[in-house]
Amino acid sequence: MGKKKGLGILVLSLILVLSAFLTGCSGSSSDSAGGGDSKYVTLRILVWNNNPEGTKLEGEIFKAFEKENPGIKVKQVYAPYDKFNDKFLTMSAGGDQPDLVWIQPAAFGQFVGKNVLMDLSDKKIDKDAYMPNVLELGQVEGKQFALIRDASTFQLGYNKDMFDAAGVPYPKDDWTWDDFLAAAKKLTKQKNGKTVQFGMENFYTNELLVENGGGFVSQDGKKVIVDSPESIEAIQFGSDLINKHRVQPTSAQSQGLSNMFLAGQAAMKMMGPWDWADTAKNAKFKWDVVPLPAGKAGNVSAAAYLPIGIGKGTKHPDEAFKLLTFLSSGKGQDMQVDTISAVPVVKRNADKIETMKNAPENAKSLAASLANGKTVMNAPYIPEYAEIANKIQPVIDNINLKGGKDTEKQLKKIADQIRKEYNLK
Amino acid sequence: MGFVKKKLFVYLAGKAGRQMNKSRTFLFYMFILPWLIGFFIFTAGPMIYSLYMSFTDFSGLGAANWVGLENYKKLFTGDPLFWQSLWNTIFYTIFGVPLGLVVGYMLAVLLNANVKFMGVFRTIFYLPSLVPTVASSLLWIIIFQPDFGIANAILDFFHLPTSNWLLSEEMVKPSLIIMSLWGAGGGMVIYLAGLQSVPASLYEAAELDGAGRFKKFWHITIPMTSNVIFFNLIMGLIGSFQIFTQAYVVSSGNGGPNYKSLFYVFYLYQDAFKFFKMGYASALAWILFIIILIFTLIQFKVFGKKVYYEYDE
Repeated sequence: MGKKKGLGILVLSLILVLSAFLTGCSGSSSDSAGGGDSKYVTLRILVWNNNPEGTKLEGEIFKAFEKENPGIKVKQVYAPYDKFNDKFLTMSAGGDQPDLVWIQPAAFGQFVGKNVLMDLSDKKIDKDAYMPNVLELGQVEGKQFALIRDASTFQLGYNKDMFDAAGVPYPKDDWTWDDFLAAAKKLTKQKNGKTVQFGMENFYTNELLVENGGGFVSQDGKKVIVDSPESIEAIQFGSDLINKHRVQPTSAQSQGLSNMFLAGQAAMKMMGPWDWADTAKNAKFKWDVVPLPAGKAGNVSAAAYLPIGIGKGTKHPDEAFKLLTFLSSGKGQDMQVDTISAVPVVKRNADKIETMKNAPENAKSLAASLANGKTVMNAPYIPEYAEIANKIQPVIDNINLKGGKDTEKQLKKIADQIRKEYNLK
Repeated sequence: MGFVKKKLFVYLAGKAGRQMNKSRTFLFYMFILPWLIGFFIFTAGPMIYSLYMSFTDFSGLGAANWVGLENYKKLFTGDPLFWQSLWNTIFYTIFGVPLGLVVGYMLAVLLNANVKFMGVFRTIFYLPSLVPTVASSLLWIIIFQPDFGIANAILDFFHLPTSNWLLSEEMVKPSLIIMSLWGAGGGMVIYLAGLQSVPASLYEAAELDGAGRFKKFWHITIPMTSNVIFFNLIMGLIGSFQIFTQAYVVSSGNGGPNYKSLFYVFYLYQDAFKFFKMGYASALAWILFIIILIFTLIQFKVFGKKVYYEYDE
């Protein structure tokens, strides 16, 4: 009996010690890996790769910052785009949060909701430096949680040589879905029953939705609109490009292939200015850009902008803010124009879009789209948005896969499910 | 692991146990202390912690608030993906585990024959199970690639209908089962060990009685190796319920197409490390624990008595 009692006490005390240990763990403050060298403050910024060339050039901006601020070193930490948010949240939960973080607009609400970003509202921000409506992109419920580095949008890049060969006139800035489809059909080539050249690489569903006035969830985050007539039409159009008109590869046809545009297997591609450097360097053909074709909502496209935030757990908030200022309103804004062709957000550089490094001939159309408010915000800043988008996307993937015979039914089903689960209209 | 438990029981309850004096008891606990500490810190402790968390809305990032049975209620009443992932997993288990058992066993029987270069053949069939899952999954993506993959090329050659494999709602789970058979070598070596411990005298006796090949196999080989079969069945089932890596890799992390490869642990992972609903994910984990426990108990109940152990008295 005595033995048993002893064992019981042993087990019990172990459990107690353990629970104290675990509670201690979860309660303790996070601790960022600052590097062992006390002479330097090392800032870590979590970023993704747009393309190899861009990533290389990105480093030059950080080097300039280090030169200006002796004593601060910047280290880029990479995560792949589609695992990016998971990585940041996991690092945050694990007490290994990076000091700064690039943010995908669709995940902004989630980050703020999980309370992992620093509130910058009472920091010294040079508000007058920015172009109109830029600061607001980094605000959630009136509080500044991020500053914007570049505010741009997607356009369509096209292979001029292929257009010439097919005898198709170059697209105009005000073209429509019908024009696009007609061109894409002529640009698609088959050989022995196999498509060897596609008209379009991959038309992002997100952009189709915006062009037609649809979306997943309304911008105020209150209403599910993925089953609105506009959304259904847009998603159907996307599916038809693949399955009916066959101008865009199925996921089976494109599996394992990267950048069919550069490889000369597709005539058109979704392209942002961040792709210019890479395309200019690697394209073996003449190319240009054009605004996205118009659906019901006109030649609009989703606002593609880069908010950068500061991790709440940073040990170097002042240095981190210094870097953030450098990037979003300081010298970085001047440098990015000449290196990575990232569209500046400060007033003083507003006229530089057309002359950015590697700018194609029609870069002025990008400047015009941005200046004329042809970009649409379509990522509501609500905590659940990342999750909702994650649940809708597989349904759309499946519609694209199966030919979209019951698009409306499938979208209605997922929309109702989301409404019920998240209490939305 | 029935035999380990039995051995331990025999050891503790038998003579040896009674004769142990105090200092030997102390010594015993000292010797197993490293394991005990590891067990409590890395297994039992986190388990208890997660049980507590399953009753909270813990996000992994902030404070945890007690929500009672809310997580469990949502699981069963308001979450279609829970049922979808559970069904996917059960489908995978029901077809994958028995198939894996049969294939592994057949391989072992073949590789138990006495022919030249047997070592080479055994190595060849065992090797695939040593390849890291991520690497083999990437390999299978290429094999199953609908346009230029070898699977469709072979079907095409014989004028059989081809498939979209991993990109098809209907075929993604069968494809994953085929992939799992590639690793049947792991179970095979255990069978092989079991087969080699069957005494030759039994076969000789059966031969004298006029038993043919099939009868010997059915009445001697299978019953005499029932303990390893049972072991592989239980371990296979537990492993199968926890399938994650292959599905994660072949669907690039989203469980597609249309959630048909979203397995239970995969969904649990998404909730925990994508949406950071740690409390909810903990509830999922405990439901899985109970499911596996029930299945394992059923197996002990149904097959347990039919299993032969060498050291049974």
